[in-house]
Amino acid sequence: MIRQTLQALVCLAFAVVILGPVFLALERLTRVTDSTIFDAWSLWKNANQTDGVLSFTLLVAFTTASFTCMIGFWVASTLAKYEIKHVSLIRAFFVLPFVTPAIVAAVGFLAIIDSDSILSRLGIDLYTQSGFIGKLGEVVGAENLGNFIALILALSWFNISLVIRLIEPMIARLDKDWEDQFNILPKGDSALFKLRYFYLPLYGPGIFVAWSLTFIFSFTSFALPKWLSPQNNTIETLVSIYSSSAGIEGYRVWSSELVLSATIIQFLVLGIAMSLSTILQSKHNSRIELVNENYSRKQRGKLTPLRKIGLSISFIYVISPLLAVLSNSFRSIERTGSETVKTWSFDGWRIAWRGDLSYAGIPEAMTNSVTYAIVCMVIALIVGTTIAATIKQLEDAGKQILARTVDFVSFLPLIVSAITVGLGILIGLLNLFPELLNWRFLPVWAHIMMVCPFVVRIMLPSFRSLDQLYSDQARVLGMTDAEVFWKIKIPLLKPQIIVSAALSMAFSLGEFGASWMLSGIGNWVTLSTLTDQLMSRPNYFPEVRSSAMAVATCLMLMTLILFIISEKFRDENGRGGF
Amino acid sequence: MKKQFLIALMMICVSTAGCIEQAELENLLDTDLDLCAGDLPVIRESNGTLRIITYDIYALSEEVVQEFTNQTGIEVEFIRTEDAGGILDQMMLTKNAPQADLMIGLDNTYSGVAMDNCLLQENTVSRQNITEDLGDNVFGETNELVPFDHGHICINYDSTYVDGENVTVPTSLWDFTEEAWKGKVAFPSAVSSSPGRAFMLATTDYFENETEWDWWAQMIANDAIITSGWTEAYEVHYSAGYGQWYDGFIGDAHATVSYCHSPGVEAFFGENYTTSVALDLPKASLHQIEYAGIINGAANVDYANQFIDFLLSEDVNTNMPANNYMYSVLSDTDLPEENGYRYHSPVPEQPADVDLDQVDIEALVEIYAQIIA
Repeated sequence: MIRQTLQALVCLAFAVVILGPVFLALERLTRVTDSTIFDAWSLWKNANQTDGVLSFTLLVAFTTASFTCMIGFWVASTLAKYEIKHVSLIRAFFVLPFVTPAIVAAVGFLAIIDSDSILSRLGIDLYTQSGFIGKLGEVVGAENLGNFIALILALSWFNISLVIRLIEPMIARLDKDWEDQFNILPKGDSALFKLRYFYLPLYGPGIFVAWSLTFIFSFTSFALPKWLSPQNNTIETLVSIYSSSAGIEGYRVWSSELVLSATIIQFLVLGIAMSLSTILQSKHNSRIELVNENYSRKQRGKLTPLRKIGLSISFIYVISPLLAVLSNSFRSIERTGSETVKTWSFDGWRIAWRGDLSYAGIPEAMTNSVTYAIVCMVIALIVGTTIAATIKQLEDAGKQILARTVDFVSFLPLIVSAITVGLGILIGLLNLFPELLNWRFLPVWAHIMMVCPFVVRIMLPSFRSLDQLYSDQARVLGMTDAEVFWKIKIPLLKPQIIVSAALSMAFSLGEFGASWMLSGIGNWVTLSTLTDQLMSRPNYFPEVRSSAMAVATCLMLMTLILFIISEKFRDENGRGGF
Repeated sequence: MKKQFLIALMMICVSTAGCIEQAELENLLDTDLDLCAGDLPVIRESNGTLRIITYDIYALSEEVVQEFTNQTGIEVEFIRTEDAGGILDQMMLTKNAPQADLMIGLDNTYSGVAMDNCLLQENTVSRQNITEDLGDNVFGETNELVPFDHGHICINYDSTYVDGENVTVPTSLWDFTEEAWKGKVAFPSAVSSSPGRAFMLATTDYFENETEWDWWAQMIANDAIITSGWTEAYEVHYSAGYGQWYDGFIGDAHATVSYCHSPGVEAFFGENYTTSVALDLPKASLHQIEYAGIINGAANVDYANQFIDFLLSEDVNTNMPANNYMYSVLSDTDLPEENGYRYHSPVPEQPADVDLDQVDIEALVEIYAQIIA
């Protein structure tokens, strides 16, 4: 009884403490603008800076989701179907982007599309959009086509791992006999028939879940549009520009109107996407009869040459931004009058370490980042695991509606974007408790909000797959409930707990949107905000970019270590989730 | 379907939450304190550290701040915002419970709002070394604002594009509405950038409060590039700025809004090399003055006074041109001649004369925002 009460309290605390600031912010915005959330659309239409922003955001999210699913499905099916040496290692590289901090991806892609890059030398100028890309833009009537392509490539890079994670295990464990049996049906040789009656029912729900999640993450992306598409705003970048004056009585009320309407529209779009994804997820989990994936691979044999080439190109695509960040951290610019020469040096690292061009050096930013990540991990793990356990217990007790409600609420922080989360804390909470401005751990609050849904998503399937028999037998042997929990359940859940812990830390380290919103009010520089700070710094000093890349490299290496830990402990059955 | 129902339910809860707790929130949030009438009780408990709200001011380097601490024994911590507008937003947001003692960086286009909202209090700083016409407070009789640097905002152009044959040096702002400048002028937005705001104000005087919005509309029709901040306009788009040497440069604009001494800064860091030129048209520039001020309700007023004194000291303030790329406010100072800094930095002969105390700048910004939308 005490345990259940505690669980209920944790869930309730999550709803209040985590979602409260966002609701308070909405309350504040509706009061300042003297409107309700139902006025969102008219406020949006009447706002000055919103022309084309919603359609651009939808276009970016839709294109990214579709493109990512296409290439992700191809890579997933290649990894799943064929016998490949070191497939686990190759797969690990493909799923690495998802834990890579967005700001690292942004600066990596910026280096790739720069006018000095190999891509530009090949005539593909995605940044200044000259030559072929510029002409193509004119032909198709698309302004800033190069920037758009760069943004889609970067967002797809970021989300490809999601598609692979969700789809690859499903394909890998599909019995090839099914396909063979289908082929000998009267219309089995028709591609359309196969697609309609075989592939779509089998893979469709999984692909759509991946599509909708990619759509959601692209729709709310902040760092990538901010750096790669400076000429077009998404809802998230627009809100970031005007949010600092939002929620203030009688001052720039139009900015409050803009932020309120953007937040509600974002909430609705993401809510619809998330609901569809949740509905389809249950189908995704229950449709396929599974076989051992090694057996399945052996049935299909080795990679075809075409698959080899395709996989190699995909591999280069995945690895290049990371290499670009690393190599550019050693590139310094020497300027003499009108001449500039790029040289290899450690200057960027030296300057970034000492913090000569910023308010903090790498050691201070790293200390802040690691401290926040540890605190975030501990709290998110406790809260996320408790919520997952509660959902499982409610399901077992037949309280399906309540279980789904808790499940849905636990996922809500992902429906509100990182910027909104930061804004919620800023204008929702700080008006009531201004002394929180001095609280060093304020950014952790936002990190926990963003990380908890992932912990729930990792832990819930594990709770569901726990065999009740172990607990029953332990009780027969005289163990108390607490002993069953600590001595039976925890050891069985250990791999997922470690995966959750490592990913929580990695996500916290790389969290940028909310930290960016809150870093303005305090003195808490993290590695991700330090990278942005250096990238935004006027380039009078030639080492600005290399030192930004040096900080980004540190961030990248730290998340890489955490990723390796999580992959080491992730069991084969846990490959179908985050 | 159930999920959608839950979303709707939640949104209804949000919309009604305001009604339920209205009275309580009114008390907490909107206590109508007459800030200007008297001293506010110190809301933030002082921990003996001076808290300064500022933006990315290069003059406030770690060494400079450490020097202040060495001299006075006072520790300093910063709240840093994106820009001057961010300082004002932050001060407005925490108006009833200020979290900083000292503001550094509001310029004369933002200070009026701060004064109207009683966000600052008087200080005891001596102004005897400040250039005479900078020390006057244009916003009233009191002395809340202390200038610490200044400069003029005007259009800069790329002399390699303006070659005198195909394209001539503009002699009127209307020239920028012509085909030669189509898509080739970058403006930092007056909504979110202080140089952009200053230049927008200059145009009201240039066009004598009559045709400025026509001009802006024609500039938009001529594909002017509007960026959210100065950095993006100058570094990413301007073809004669130092951005050209670095990643992320586009260079599609041959003119932009910056400081009239920006070409001087280019030359100073580029061994007397620059192709950027400041355009000195009568009334097409605005004199920007950046201020420091003690926040109303500050916990450490004495420390704040000492820091402003330090900021105005000869050691710190005469280095403004090299450390902060702005003019010093001290009498008998100028830009250094080294590397052509002063040579490439014309002082506008006839800057715009805008009565910043009388103009409703926020209303102008709203009109501007409608035009550039």
